This record gives sequence, C-alpha cells and structure tokens, in this order.
Amino acid sequence: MRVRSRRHAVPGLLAALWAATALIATIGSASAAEPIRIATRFDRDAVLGSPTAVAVTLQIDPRRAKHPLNEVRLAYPRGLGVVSSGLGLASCTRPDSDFVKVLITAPRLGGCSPNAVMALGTARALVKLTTGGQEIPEFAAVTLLSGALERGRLGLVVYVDGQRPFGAKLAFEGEVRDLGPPYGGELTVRLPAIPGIEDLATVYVVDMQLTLGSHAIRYTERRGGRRVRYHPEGVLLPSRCPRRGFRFRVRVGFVDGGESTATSVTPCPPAVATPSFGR
Amino acid sequence: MQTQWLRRRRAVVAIAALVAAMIVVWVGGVSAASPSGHAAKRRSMSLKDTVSLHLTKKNGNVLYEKGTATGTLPGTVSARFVTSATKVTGTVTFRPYSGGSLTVSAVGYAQSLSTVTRISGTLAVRKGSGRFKNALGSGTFTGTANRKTWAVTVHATASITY
Repeated sequence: MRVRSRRHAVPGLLAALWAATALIATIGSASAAEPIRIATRFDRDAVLGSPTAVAVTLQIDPRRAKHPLNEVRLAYPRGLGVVSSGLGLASCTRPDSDFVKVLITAPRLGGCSPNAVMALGTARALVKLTTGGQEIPEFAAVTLLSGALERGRLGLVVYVDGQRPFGAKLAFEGEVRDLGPPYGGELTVRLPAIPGIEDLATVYVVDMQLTLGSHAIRYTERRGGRRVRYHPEGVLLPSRCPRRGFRFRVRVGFVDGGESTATSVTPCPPAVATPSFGR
Repeated sequence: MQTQWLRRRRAVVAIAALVAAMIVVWVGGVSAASPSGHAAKRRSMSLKDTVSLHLTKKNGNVLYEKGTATGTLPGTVSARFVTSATKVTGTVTFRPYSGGSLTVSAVGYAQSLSTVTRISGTLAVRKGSGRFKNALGSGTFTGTANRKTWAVTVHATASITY
C-alpha cells in the first residue's frame, strides 16, 4: 500500500518540480525582459569577515525604457556592514533648494567634507534634444555622500559632475532605509527632472557604475597635530556567507509611474585569504 | 477495662490523625502562599551607571564590544550590537564585581552624524543570574559612539526588581 502511494507520489512530485522549474524559468525570462540590468561584485581579493569595496553597475536599455528615471533604489544583503564600515564619517548638508533646482553651481563635492564620501563612480546619459531629436551622450563623475540625519534616517546626497560635452553639476538627495530579509537595507536616490530644461531636452540615464567604499576614496584626520589622508575601511562582509550568495536588488522608477526591478547575486568570497605568492 | 483502653487508644489515634492533617494543611498552605511570599520579598534597585566599551570584533554589521561599568553596579560589561541604517539593537551583559549578572536588550538611535555620534535609546532587562535571577526592569541611556573606532560611552539609568 505504501509502495503504491509512493508510486503515485513520484509523478506528482515530478509534476510539481516541472511546474516549479517552469515558473522559475518564467520569472527568469520576465527579468530578462526588464529594461534594466544590475551587476555587483566585491574586490577580487575580498575575504569573508573583512572589508571590501562593492561595485554596482546599473544598465538601462534606452530602447526598452521609454521614459527617464526618477528614482533608483538599491537593496543590499542582510549582514553587510554598511553602517559599521568606516564610510560616511561626516555628513553633507545642503540647502533643500539645491535638490529642487538640481542644477547647481558649487565647488567640488558641493563644498562638503571629503569624509562624507561613501561611493565613487561614473554615469552615462543620453541627452535627447526636443527640437531635432538629436541624442547627445553625456559622461559624468558620480559621488555618493552621507547626508543629514532626518527622522532617524541616514540621508544621502549624490553629486553628478558632468564631464563632457555639457559639464553640468547636479545634486540629488536620498536616504538609507532598513529592509526585511534577505536584504539589510536600501539606498534610495530620487532623480527629479531638471527644472528649466524640460522644454529643451530630456535626460535618459543609460548606465551608472558606483563603487561603495572605492579604493580611490580618501579621508582626512588629525594625527599628532598633522592632517593625514587615509583610505577608510570599506563595507564589511560577514564571516559567514548567506545561502546562495549575496543578493542585491535594484528598483528603478520612471517618470510615467512605471517601475522595473533587477536582481543580482554576488558569489561568496573565500573565508580566508588565498596565498599571494609574493604578490 | 479493655474496652476503656481501646476507646482511649482510638481517641489518641484520632487526635494524632487530626494533628497530622492540620500539619499537612498548614504546610500546604504555606507552600501555596510561598510565591506571593517571594514576590513580596522582591527587591528593587535604581541603577545609574556609566559604561565604557571598546570594539573587540566586527562581523559584517555586527559589533562585539567589551568594557567596564562604574556607578551603582561597577563591573565588567560585554555587548553585541547589530547596526542598521536607522538604529542599533543589541544585548549588553553586566557582570558586577559584587556577583551575579544582568543581560539587557538595548535599542539605540543616532542623534547626530559625525565621527563621534550622539546616541540615545532604551533598554529592557531580559535575564539575570545569581542574585539577579528573575530580574525585571527597564531604563534609558544616552552617550556617544565613535564611528571610526566604535568606542562607546553611555550613561544608563534603569529601575530593576529582582
């Protein structure tokens, strides 16, 4: 009797497995159809339990995304030490009017302390002119800074320093929020349209690369009466790997109210450093 | 004569049984009443301590710290804190030099953002050992955390019963 019920159970189990596989394949293909893609990686020599830089690359397919972005939300895995890192030791506070104007004239980092820098990166946007429909690519350097503490939330400031051909300097604001498992928190940056240019052009961000705890970040501190520059400790990895690796998720909002999500899994680095053999 | 002796013996047995029954009832009554007796004996204590902690280990978003407490319950302190974007939660264990231990849950919030950050929060007694077994209580704390070294100094006040 038991054998017979097992025989009946096997085709049922296979059917359930097939259905699950089909469902996963559907979800996978649905993700593939999304206009955005995310890739994340740690330092090549990253080790569990040690600090690392976290590089995030976001790509937006301008053929699929019909509208410009107005929000980017990056969820990072639970256990990742973003707050416990040595990043964001100062806060960058700017007047609210900067984030309304977006287009600002300010010195490097908007006059904020370099000790507020959390991530460095680059961005590429397509500036589509309203008259003539010409598309001009614009390259920019991007800096993510820790902002003011508001209502218990850690604020964020993003400076976009246009390089060529326009060279515009833009300021955006955001914040870090706590998030439920498998994520630990979420960095949110709001990207409103730039006032004053809506009739002239539309800006489509097509890719953005940002490295949290980048090795190029330099902080300063006083040691023995002298100002010393140092590289702050990056994002701390836990000593144990989450099941199936470190999961990241990016959600972008478009100006028409649409939303798109993409996820990435960064494989676990080794638990101990591999021998460098005199490197 | 024999009948009289038998009657006396029965009376003695009956009295003995009655006394035994009374003893049982009395003992039972005392044991039943004992919890409230203990509850009445619970002591209360107002704690006012300054806790200084230093980082011993970091593991992702978890900080492990050790240090000392001075004040009402001087002794050693160990702590495990989980950091997140909006708050720090954790457990702190006090081991007074006078004996016993107290473990409290703490939730802290940053009040400023700089290298040395002001923090404040609440704490609740979770468990204890030795003389603080069955301890209950709650309190608050304020202090500073150095976000570079994770050295923490807090002034905690709490009311406990044990």
